[in-house]
Amino acid sequence: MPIIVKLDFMLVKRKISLTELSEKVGVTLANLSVLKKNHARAVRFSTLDAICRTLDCQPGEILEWVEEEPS
Amino acid sequence: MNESNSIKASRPLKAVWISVQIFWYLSWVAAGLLVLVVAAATVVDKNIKYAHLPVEVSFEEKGEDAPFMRAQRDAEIPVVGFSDITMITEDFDGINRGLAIPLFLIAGQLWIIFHLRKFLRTVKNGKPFDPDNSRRVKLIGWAVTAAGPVVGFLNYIYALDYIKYIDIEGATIETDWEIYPYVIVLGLLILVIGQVLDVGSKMQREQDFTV
Repeated sequence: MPIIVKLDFMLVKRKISLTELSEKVGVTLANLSVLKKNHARAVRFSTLDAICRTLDCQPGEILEWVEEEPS
Repeated sequence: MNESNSIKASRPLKAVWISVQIFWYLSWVAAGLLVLVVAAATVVDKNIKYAHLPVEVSFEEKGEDAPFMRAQRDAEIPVVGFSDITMITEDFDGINRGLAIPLFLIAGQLWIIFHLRKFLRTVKNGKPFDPDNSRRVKLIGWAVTAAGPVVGFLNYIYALDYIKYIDIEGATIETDWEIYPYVIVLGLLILVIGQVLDVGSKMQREQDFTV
């Protein structure tokens, strides 16, 4: 997947755990874990809004596009 | 990953589940009874009386009285009307082969209901688009589609056994290999539903991995 999620980087920067983030954002820990591990296929804008609001960041700080190498 | 939704079983779904369960247990009872009949037929006297035989009898000339005829093995077969034949013969072995066909059909029915029960269980648990469901439904679809020509062929073989033992003067006795087109259409419909479930399971997977 060419979209990389840098959620763990932001969690460290803001000194907040994934569990705490899941409680504040209102998304289950399992789903956030899926997102953190880059296994998610899609992210809702509402979820992105809640994460950015909690972590006080821009979407570009937690999402990065990397060109996929041809297989 | 989204948590699986626990869908409360609706009344129509409950009705379908109960119907499938009834068919499941009745099929086992029928299979058991059929096994007993086959066993009994091999053990006791083989004089069997049938109201109808699986053959077509046509006469070139119709008379006032139904004619008598003789089977190849000197068993007398009185004809009642032109299509009702009572056949009594001690050496006729077609009974067991004939009973094997219903056993084969009941085994197929049990296999289909087995997969149907598993499918309904996943629907009751709120996971109708489980990846295994499309595979199950497609298997059922292929089985039903194949049943159209196969069952007709088995009935044809079964009828051929009787033809060997019936000889009616002035009559033409014949049987055909009947292919049941409506069964084939039903099987194709089930295959289409399996394909739809395939698409549904892919959409479900996308949904499950949407945060």
